[in-house]
Amino acid sequence: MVHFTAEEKTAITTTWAKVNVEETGGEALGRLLVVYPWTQRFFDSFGNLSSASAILGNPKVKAHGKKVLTSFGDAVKNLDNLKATFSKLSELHCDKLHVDPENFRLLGNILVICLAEHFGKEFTPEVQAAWQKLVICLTEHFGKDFTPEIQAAWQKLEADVANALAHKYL
Amino acid sequence: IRPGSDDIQHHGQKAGEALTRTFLSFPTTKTYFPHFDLSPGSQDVKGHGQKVADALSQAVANLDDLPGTLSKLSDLHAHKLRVDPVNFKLLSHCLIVTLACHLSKDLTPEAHASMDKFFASVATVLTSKYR
Repeated sequence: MVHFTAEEKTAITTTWAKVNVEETGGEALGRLLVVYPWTQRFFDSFGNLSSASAILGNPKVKAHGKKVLTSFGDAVKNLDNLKATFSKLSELHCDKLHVDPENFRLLGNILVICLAEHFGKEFTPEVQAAWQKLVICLTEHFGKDFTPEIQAAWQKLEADVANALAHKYL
Repeated sequence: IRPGSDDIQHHGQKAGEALTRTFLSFPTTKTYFPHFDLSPGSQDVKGHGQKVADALSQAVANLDDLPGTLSKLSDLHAHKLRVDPVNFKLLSHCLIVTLACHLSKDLTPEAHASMDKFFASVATVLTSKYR
């Protein structure tokens, strides 16, 4: 369990108090989809993602970004208990949505960049380090349910499906 | 990429800041600099920031031939420095964070994507002779 020092908590909560969750959420998710276009794979139902301006103006992207960042807000309020706070969301992303944990790392870093943009010089190396610790922690929590055992079960299922599909070829 | 790289004088400073951010956010990166004074603002960090900035400026001026331009640095990283590839992503991220702090809204999503792609390409070239 990662421990945040008093200074780190202050850095995180002070920054967070000045964040416009709706605006920054849409921006962060939008940037993720622009900078790492392969992440669009999870959002087929979102409509037009054909260009940077389409993505950034897309109302579904904005709405979902706000949802995601609101959850980040829960993390900020529960820095000492991230595991319990995110238990259900972690299960959802692993068992239902099947999101590669690498994507959480990417989104976390995009959020850090959005914060840097908004806060400029105020986003000192020390403040950044506190946020990196939080996003790394969240990435680990969201990724932890994808255990080696669960992965092995999926590998086996995928191999069985592939064999079944190839069966008629011979 | 080029507009983001125009402010030549301050490149060294920005690269130095990016290094400081990298050492603070990702302490494992410090293992490659046991011989350095890594306190913020140290001459070692400033000097190294300038070196990194100069190499990146050369790369920007030769976007169509990164392997040729960075060949010597590529050899250096493969045979002498042997920095684990994962660390290039960490420094690249902190370079973008630094740019974001200084450029604010001018670091548009498109510019951000270009810089990310550029740093990833540089990293690929620098690790291309590893094995």
